[in-house]
Order: sequence, then C-alpha cells, then structure tokens
Amino acid sequence: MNFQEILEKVEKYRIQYNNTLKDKIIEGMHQQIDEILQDTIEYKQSNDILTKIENYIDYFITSRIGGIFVLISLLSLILWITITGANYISEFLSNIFASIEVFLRNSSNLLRIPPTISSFLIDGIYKSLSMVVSVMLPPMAIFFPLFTFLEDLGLLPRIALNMDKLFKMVGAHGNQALTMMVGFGCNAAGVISTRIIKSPKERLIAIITNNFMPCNGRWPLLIMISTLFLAPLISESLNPFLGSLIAALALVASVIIGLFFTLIVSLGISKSLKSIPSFYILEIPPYRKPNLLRIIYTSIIDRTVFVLMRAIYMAIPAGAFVWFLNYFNLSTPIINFLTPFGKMFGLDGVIILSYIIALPANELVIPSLLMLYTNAKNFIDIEEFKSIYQILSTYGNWDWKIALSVMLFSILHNPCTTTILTIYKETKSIKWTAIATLLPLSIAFTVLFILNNLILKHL
Amino acid sequence: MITWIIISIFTLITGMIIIINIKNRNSRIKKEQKEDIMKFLYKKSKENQKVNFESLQLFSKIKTNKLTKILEEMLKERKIKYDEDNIKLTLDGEKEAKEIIQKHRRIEKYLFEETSIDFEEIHDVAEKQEHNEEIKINTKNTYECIDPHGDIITGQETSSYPLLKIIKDIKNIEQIYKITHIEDEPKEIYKKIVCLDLSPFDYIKIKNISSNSITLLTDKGKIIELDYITAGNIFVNKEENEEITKMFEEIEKNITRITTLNELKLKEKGKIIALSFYIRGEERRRLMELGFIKGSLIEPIYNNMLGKDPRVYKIKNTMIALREEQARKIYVIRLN
Repeated sequence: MNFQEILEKVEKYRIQYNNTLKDKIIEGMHQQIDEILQDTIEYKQSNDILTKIENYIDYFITSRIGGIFVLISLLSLILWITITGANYISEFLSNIFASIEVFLRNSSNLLRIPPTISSFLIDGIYKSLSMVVSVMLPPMAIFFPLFTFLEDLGLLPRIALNMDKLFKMVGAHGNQALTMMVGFGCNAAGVISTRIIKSPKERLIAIITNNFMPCNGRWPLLIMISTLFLAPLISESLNPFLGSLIAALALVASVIIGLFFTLIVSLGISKSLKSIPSFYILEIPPYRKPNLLRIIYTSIIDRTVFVLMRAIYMAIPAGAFVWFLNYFNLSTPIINFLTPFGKMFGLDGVIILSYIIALPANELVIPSLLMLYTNAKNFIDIEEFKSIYQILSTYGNWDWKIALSVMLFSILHNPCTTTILTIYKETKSIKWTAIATLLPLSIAFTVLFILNNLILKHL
Repeated sequence: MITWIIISIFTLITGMIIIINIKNRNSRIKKEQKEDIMKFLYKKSKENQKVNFESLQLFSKIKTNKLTKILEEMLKERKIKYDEDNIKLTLDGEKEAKEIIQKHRRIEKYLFEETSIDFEEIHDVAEKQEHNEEIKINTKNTYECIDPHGDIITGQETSSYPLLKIIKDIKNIEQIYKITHIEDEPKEIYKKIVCLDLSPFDYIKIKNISSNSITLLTDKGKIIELDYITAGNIFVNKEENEEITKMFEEIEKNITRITTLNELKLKEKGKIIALSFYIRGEERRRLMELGFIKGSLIEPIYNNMLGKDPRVYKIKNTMIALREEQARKIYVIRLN
C-alpha cells in the first residue's frame, strides 16, 4: 500500500464515520487509559475531614461575600507587605552601593584613570545601574515570593474564576486578573505570566493590556505626586494622616483608571481579532501544600532575576545617555525643543525628556525629573519630600493640573523597554510589539489632550 | 530648471504607478468575475438548469457590454461554449470551476477549525479569499475531507434534498433522516440553524408537521420546531439503519432526562452523551483531552461568586471551569 492509497482509505473512513473519526480515536484512547488505570492504580481513600475542609473553603471563596473579602484582603495585604518591606531592603541596598561607589572612586584615582572616563563609568553607568537595582529589586523580591506562594497553594485559579464574568464581558480570559496582579509587581513579569492563558487570542489581549496596571516602578511617583500636589487641594495644612489617606485613595483611583482602560482596550482588540482561535477552559487544581524550594526557585530565578537582568541591560545605555546630555550641556536645547509639544498635553519639555530617559525603567522618572530641573550631573537620591516639592514648584512651575496630567501619563504611557523586549520575546511578532507600545502611548496623549484642552483649561 | 525636471520625473513615476495599480485592480476584478461566472455555470449544470445571457446577467449584475466582453474572452480561452442560446462550461472550464469550489471549501474548513471567526461570517471571508492567488492549497493533502457544511471537499455533490420537500408527504412522520448539508446563505437563517445546534451528520426524526412549522427530534435529544424557510436550508437523506433506530428509541425513552450541561443543578450527576459540532478546533481538542467525551461522568460542584457563569465541574477526578455558552453545547443525561 503506498501513501496515496492510505490517504484514500483514511478519507473513506472519515466519510463513513461522518467526520467524527478524530473524536472516535480520542474516545478509544480514553477508554484504553481508563482500563489500564483500573488495573494498575488503587485510589487511596481520601481523608474525609480534609476534603470537607477543602469543600468549605471552596464554598467560602466562591460565595459572594467570601469572594470579595478574600480578593480585597489578599491584595491589600500583599501590597502592604511589599511597600513596607521594600523600603528597608532598598535603604540597605543603596547603602551598600554607596560604599561600593566610594571604593570605585578611590581605586580610579589610584589607577589614574582620566576623570572624564571615570566620571562616565561611575556617574553615568554605575549610578544608573545601582539605582535600578536598589529600587527595582526589593519590591520584586518580596512581591513575587508572596504571589508564588498563593499560586502554589492553588488559591489563585479560584480568584480567576470569581473574576471571570468581568473579563468575559470584554472578550478576555478570567486568568487575566492574575496576570494583572503580577503586573502590579512588574509589567515584564506580568507579560511572562500570561503563559497561564492557553487561548492565543485572550493571551494576546492580556499581553497588550498588562501595561495599564501601574507597576511598582510607578507607585512611588503616583504616591509622591498625589501627596505633594493633590492632598493640599483638600486641606492646606497637610495633616499627615489625611495626606496619606489621599495618597492611598489616589493609588486606588489610578488602579481603577488602569482597569477601566484595560477593559476598553480588551474589548476593542477582541472585537477586531477574529483570525486567532479563542476558548475558555480553566483548570482548578486541588489545594496543595506549598513547596518552599519551588516557590523560591520560580519567584527568584524565573521572575525576579529574569526581569532584573533585562532591566540592567536597559539601564546601562540610559545612564550613558543622561551622562552625555549633561556633560555636553545638551539637555537645555532638547528641553526647549520639546516644550511646545509637551504644553499641548499639559506637560512640559522636562517631563517629556525624563520619560524618554526613563524608557528603560519607570523608576528613573523621578530622579531624572529632579536632575533635569536642577541641572545636576547625576541621578540624585530622593530624601525629603518638602525639597522635592520646592524643586518641582519653583523650577518647574508645577501646580495640581500638571501633577494630575503627569499621574495620568504615568498610568497610561508606553511600557518600559524591559517590558517591550519581553513582549517581543513572548509574541515573536514585531507587529504586536509595536501595537503594545504605541497603543498605550497614543491613548495617553489623547486622554491628556482632551483633559487639558477641554476640561482643565476652563477651571 | 533642475527642480522642474525632478518634479516632472516624480509626477511621471507616480502616474505610472497609479496606472499600473488601476490596471492590476481591473484585471483582478475581471478574474473574480470570471471565476464567479464559472462557479455559477457549474452549479446550474449540476442542477440541470439552463443558463442564458439574461440569467447570467441577473446573477452577476455586470453591465451588458462588459459581460459580452468577458464572455468573449472566456470563449477564446475555451472555458465556455454556446449551445444555441445557452451558455455551458467546457471540460476545461468545469475542471477550473471544481478547483475554485474545492478551494472555497478548504478555506471554510480552515476558518472553522483554526480561527474564531463567527460561523455566519465564514462563508463571506471564504468567498473573498477563494480568488486570492497567494493562498495556495496543497491538493495532495486530503486529510481534511469534509467542510463545515457537510460537503465532501474533493467529492461530487451528494444527492440530497431540502427538508422542505418532506413536508409535502405526511407519511414521513416518524421517519429518520440524516442531515447531509446546511446551506450558509442567507446569513440570518444560517445563524438561526447554528443557534439551534443543528449540524451536518446529525440524525433527526420528524415528529410533527403543521401548516407553518415542522417539529423534529435530534440525536442529541433536543426537540426543535423549525419554520419552513429554515427547513429549506437544511438538506437531508433518508436513513434506514437498525442501530440508529434503536438509538432513537433509547433517546425517546430518556427524553426527560436529557439536557445540556448548563441546565444541571449543583451536585447533580450526569453523563455526557455528545459534544456539539460547533465546539471547534483547539477548544474541542482541549476539552476532549481533559475527558469531555461520550460516556464521561460529570458533576457541577460549585458556582463562582458572581453567579453561574463560569461554573466548576468535576470530571475524571479533576476540576474544570467552563463558561455557560460552552456548557450549553455539551449534552448530558441526568443520572438518578
């Protein structure tokens, strides 16, 4: 029998079985597997009390009150631990980096390296590198192990199940709720985590919209600006408690804005993307005892180090770029060139330039803003909010309108280069990478243009 | 002087590009029209209907002088011939028409299996893409041989007739038929048929024929009332097979217990009897891998916090969540 004859025979069978040959084969396989399992595997009588407890937990999580309670309490707990814990580690790391810097300066003096080169290496490259590491590493190193713990416990798929209805309305997958939560930690890690969505169309939606979740590189900016510029709108005499409450509210509001745009963009993409298959199947794993080693491995090696290495690759050219700008006094003409463009959207040239500099990592926005306003030679550390307020309001003429525009821009603007690189690695398509980059940027500019020219102008 | 030369060269080049584009576009439109005419002639010849110039014009909606030109060209290419007033395909033309129809069916099959385009849109996309020369289809690759409407891709048209004809003969009640083909035009009616989950290769039993509708029982235990217009789009063949008759007896016995998965109450055990034809491609593969096959036991165990959609089912000792519209396409029989 040659190949052609076999094919003809197959065709005959297909027609005979009404095109359900594939189904018949799978049914046969399952039957065979069941037979083998029956002969070889003996199921252990499951522990009654344990299964009962698991059932009760499941009922609690999937009930209306329990579901909302678990979702909100877990999310806020994780965020709180991350924010407070990250401060300590961040401080510790920056101390270490400062002492290394002293050592580097001394050794370059000893070796008689020309000052230009040593300044380039230390002020340009080393400073930006240490800045990115000390700001980016701590939140990730806390957030991801916590998150992976919940993942390993088997709790997260149940949260995805609870959130599915919201995402179904816009044609997305319930698991997108989980990838968005990872995106809170870091958008690049969020993009990687979309691998849990098996359906290609929904996965693409999750990748493109992940950027609308403010990652922890953007939290400091959102918190700082809202305390400095939005809180005084309500009470002049900055009551510290009221101030922090307003900052928290601002963070929640920015998450809600991000969620709103996530849903809208998801809807748009799912309506226009029909050439990609889509389906919804969510496997709910049983509860497991978390495996500590696995948690540490997946959270530290797979997520934290993975993202951090990419961030470091991107931070080096950015540091060099800023150093060149300031060393040759190029920043002023560029700022002057960008100012009219920025003014159209309620921003100014310095803000635009610092967002260009901060392409590698959103953490760089605040330091480069301050540096460009004060014409400093390298990234300075943020110490006192009061002095930052003075810098921004005197050099930059900031008021609450500019602050609001910057906050909105921070939520909606393009992903950082680390994320862009990750999107390319995950989608393997220049087209979708470009869309994922330019779509948020154009949305940001459109929203700011409308806000500033139609609403804020008349206030 | 130099600027003038540059400007004139520039306009010349753009003009040429525009002219070439228009020419390309015209030739493409002409090719599409020719192919549509061939398909039309082939279809009519299969139905033993004669085609003359007027009926062709009525179908193609091309102006008289243009149509004459096209037909003259096709005559020169020996694709058509005149038999007195009637236009017929030559052997060459018939072969080409067959190829186009095959291509159309293969594209439909592809769109059905590998994309998430709505069922009623598939025909329109295929109609456009069948003229696209860039889509090359490997004809040796015969492993997919039946298109989503039940036609054999490479084969001849099967002899089947619309459900509508049966109605005229009242004797046909309690007779079993097999659906062989579902017409995908017009869209609204096709959409209705898909919603009713009638698909090619389903067996149906005629239960009642009234003056404006026809009631039937499907092999998935569903009782459906069809109006005459919809019935005209479903093509069937008589089926006289012992097994199938027995199957229907079984179904009729259990008709109250047969339902879809989404209708099962929590903690109510069921056994899957069939998956809908319209669970397609990757989704079907995944579901079957996970054990959603004929004969599997299944039990909805809990809802989510916002309601019944999606719901978690226990199947083969694992927990799987499905959305409501998926569960609606899975047929189960309640177990007591």
